[in-house]
Amino acid sequence: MKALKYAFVCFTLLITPLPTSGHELAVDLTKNAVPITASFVGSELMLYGASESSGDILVVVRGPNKDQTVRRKKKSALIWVNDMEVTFLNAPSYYFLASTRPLDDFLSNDTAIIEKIGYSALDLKVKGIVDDDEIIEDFQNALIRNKQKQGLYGQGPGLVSYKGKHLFRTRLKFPANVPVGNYNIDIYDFKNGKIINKESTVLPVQKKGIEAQVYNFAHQHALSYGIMAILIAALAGWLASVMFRKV
Amino acid sequence: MQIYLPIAEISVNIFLILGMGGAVGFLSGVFGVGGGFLMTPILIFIGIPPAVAVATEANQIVASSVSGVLAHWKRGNVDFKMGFALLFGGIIGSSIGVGLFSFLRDLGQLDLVIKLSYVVFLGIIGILMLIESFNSSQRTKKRGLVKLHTHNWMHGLPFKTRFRRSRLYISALLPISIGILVGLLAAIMGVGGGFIMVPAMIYLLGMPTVIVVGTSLFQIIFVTANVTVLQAVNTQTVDVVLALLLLAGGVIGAQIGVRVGMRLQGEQLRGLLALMVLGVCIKIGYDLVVTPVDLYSIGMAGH
Repeated sequence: MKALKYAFVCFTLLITPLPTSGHELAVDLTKNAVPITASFVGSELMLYGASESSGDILVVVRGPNKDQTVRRKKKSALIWVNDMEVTFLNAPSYYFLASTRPLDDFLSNDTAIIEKIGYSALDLKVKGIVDDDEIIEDFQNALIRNKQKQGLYGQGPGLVSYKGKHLFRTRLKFPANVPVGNYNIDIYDFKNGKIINKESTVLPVQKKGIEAQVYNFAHQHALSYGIMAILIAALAGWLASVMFRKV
Repeated sequence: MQIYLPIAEISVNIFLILGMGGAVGFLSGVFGVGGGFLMTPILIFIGIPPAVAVATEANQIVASSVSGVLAHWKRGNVDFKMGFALLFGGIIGSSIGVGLFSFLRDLGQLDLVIKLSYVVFLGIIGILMLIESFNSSQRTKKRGLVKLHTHNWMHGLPFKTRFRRSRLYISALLPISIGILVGLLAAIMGVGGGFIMVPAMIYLLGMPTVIVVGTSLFQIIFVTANVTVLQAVNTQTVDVVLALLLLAGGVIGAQIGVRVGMRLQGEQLRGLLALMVLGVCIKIGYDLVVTPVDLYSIGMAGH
């Protein structure tokens, strides 16, 4: 189904005469949402598009911003204890970057900072006051390292590939532990190191069905949820004792 | 087959969870223990966030205690007056415990406190059980002198109350204090606390052994129910889907366990359980001592 839709769009893009401006950029996703259902084990989807200029394509995916606390352990007496923490305000909970070529080949430092592209341009604000810039850098690197380990941060040159002269595509991966919320996807078209076009789209990642119902119930009616949980448990316990009485 | 847990927010294998529920249920049937002190660490080992493991396990213990207490109640082996005294303390202790739980979580020290409590309590209990099983296998040869009633400082405490079913005339402060301690453990460690309460009732209060288990189960139901509701309200960490899977496996395992347990030798069994308890204790302790792969970690997302 996914492949079929992809093939269809590619075909449509091919037969549609391109405008003459020379800067057209069109993109789409094989799914317009990532539903988290009871059988969710992570999700993959294709981002595909066409660039008239055949320039360098850069795709940036940002998950919903959240405050992220990073803690550092220290050996105290015999055991390892968390002894310091730094909270980064509004850090992206998911950050993925894909491009046709290594970033250094077409992305200037200025553009990276203005458009906030790449780990070094994340520009995270720290909660409270931490005097030492070196410490902040250590904690920020730790945040990126741990997020990469969880599969929530990633960047890779070569992950966007051209098929033919104008059609490109890349694979977006969302692991099972993906945070819910709206994901902003920016697609840049670079020519000679300059942005000649930019497209943006939003991909919602939401709990669906029973998952959403349980989660919302637990958060919006916490007391009823707790009481329901013990009633279910008590009922199950009673049922078990009745069922096995005469075995 | 994978299932996504709505509160824990991770994907787990259904059969792994059912199997774990069954295995721990089997052990609790064989040994007559609650099993929370084994289940909570195992849940943490497979990647369930510790806060969710503790709160969800409290919910599951409600189920196993209900099914256990019914059998004891029918035989009249529950001292309700003693149960209410323990419960009074238990509600106080578990309410303080849940508050402490949120406080420690915000401080970033929750995981450490959970793990340290496990190392300390499992260590003590495991060693005591090992000694006891060793002694009792010796005792079959030479019978020691057991003093039935000793008078000490505990009998000077005020609020003396008669507990008719237990044939005791003691200060109500004693069961209440035991209840407070056990309630605290229930909230922080995700256990019923039977493994502390049962010895305390026998050796400290001097209750007759036959009514100890039923009375402690009676108290555990309400204390773990209190923990479940408080955790649901304060931390939103009770995962009913996980709890249901665990108790489905657990009730079946427990019923098989009870039948197997009746055919096995007591002392060897106790020794085996002691070794298992010590094994879990050593594993958790080792993880605290060994240098972590990454000194930095991302904290649990606050709400």
